[in-house]
Parts: sequence; C-alpha cells; structure tokens
Amino acid sequence: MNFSDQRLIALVLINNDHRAYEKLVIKYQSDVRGLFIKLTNGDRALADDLAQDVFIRAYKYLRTFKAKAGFSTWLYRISYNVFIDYTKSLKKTDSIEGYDCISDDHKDAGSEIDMQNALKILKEHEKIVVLLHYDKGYSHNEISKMLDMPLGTVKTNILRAKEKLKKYYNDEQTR
Amino acid sequence: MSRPDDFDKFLKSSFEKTKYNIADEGFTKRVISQLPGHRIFTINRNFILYLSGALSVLIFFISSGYKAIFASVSDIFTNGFHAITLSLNSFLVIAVFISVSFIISRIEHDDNLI
Repeated sequence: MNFSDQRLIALVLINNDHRAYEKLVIKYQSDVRGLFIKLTNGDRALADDLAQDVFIRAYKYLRTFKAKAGFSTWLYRISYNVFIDYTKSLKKTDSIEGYDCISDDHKDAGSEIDMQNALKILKEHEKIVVLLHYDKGYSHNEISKMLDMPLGTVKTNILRAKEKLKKYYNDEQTR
Repeated sequence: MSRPDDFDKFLKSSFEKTKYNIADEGFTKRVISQLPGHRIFTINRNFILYLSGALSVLIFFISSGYKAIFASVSDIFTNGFHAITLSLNSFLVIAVFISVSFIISRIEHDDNLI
C-alpha cells in the first residue's frame, strides 16, 4: 500500500473525512467496477450497484482494514463477499443475464463480447478466481489468502475454469 | 504453481484487451452521498459561532432591555436591587448562549454526533 493511500485512510478514520474517501473511490472505482462488469456478464447497472455496495461496506469497516495487504486487495475481498451475497440472494430460477453491450472505455470491444460470452460458461467461484488470476494478476497463494479459500480449491477452480474456457475457444474456432 | 502455457498467455492477453478505464464523477458522488454521516449542506464552523454570538447579543438586548446594558455600578446604587437583577439576567443569558454555541461547534466538528 502506498503512502498516499495510508494518509487518505488515516484521514477517513480520524476525521471521517469524506473528501479523503472520495479520492480513494476515484482511484479504485475503475478496478472494482471493471471486475463487476465481467462478473455480471456486462450488466453495467448491476455492476455499478454492486461496486457501490463494496465502497460503502469498505467505508463502514475501514477500521478492520490491516495495512499488510494493499487497499485494492482488500476491496477485491469485499467484492467477492458482495458478489457471493448477491448470487445467494438470487432465486435458484434466476441467473445473471448477459448483456452484450459494447463499451467505448477500453481498447477492444470485440474482445469484450468474446470474453463475456466465455465467462458465462463458468460458475461464480470459478469466474472470480479466474478474473483475479488472469485479469488482476494475483498468484494462487494471494487469491487463497485474499478469499480465505484453501489453496487446493483455488488451483482446482482455476484449472477447471481453464479447461472450460479452452473448450469454449476451440469450439468457437471450429464453428 | 504450474508454469504458464500458451493458453495462460492467451487468457492474460485477452483480459488485458478488456481492461476497463471507468472513473466518473457520477459514480463517485453516488457513493459519497450514501456514506453514513453524509450531509448535503456543510456549514462552516466559524459561521455557526458568529451566528450564535450574534443571537446572544440580540437576546441580551431583548431580554434585558437597554437599561441593563447601560447598568453600571452607579446605576446599581441609583436603581437598587432591580438593576442588579437585570444585570444577572443578562449574564445568565450570555452564559447559556456561550454554552449552546460551544455544543453546536462540537456537533458540527464531529460527524458522529449528527
């Protein structure tokens, strides 16, 4: 965690400084919202609602934040909890629908649709570990600690997800 | 950890292409407005102190009347007990308003109290 984050967090904790927290929201919203857009298969409105929940929870529990890991790592941990809570709240008959919206705020819109379609075939647990590993660059160990998930489970989820994605892309190519 | 194969590299590059860069003021404001203790209007602490000070003086005038303001030691001798009562009333009013303004300034300072 860099000095700037530490200073901002201290200001929030000591003075309830909303402006300091605003700076943290500005800095990390792209990562959190981007993660949720992928987790919700491109549903931006839902992604923003969930991301908002993450930042509000983070503010409420900021005193429990230990500066050992980065602030973004902590936010991903909360994101995981928020997402799991959300999926539990859905009835068994419901599922997260896909929204093939093309956004203009990243490099490759075609890849976004491909990726969203590919992620749809994964289970929620597989999806989140794959995103944390391949998209956010965390190692298996880091994900295990972050999500409080056994290392073996993390590896299995990633391996299983990888196999599914490999099959998906192979099928797409043969079509 | 297993060594990254071609498919790992492919996945990493695919995710790299779909990195989002979304940070907008609307979302930030939406989050901040939902935080506990958020106030729409922020009143300056000094403004509250000046306002309560002005109110103290105003109520001092109203409650005590101009006679009390000009009540001096000589007035006490000339007007007797009545002047003393008026002066004490005035000081009481001022003391109450100083206390109120102090409490208000503390409340304004600490978000948890609102």
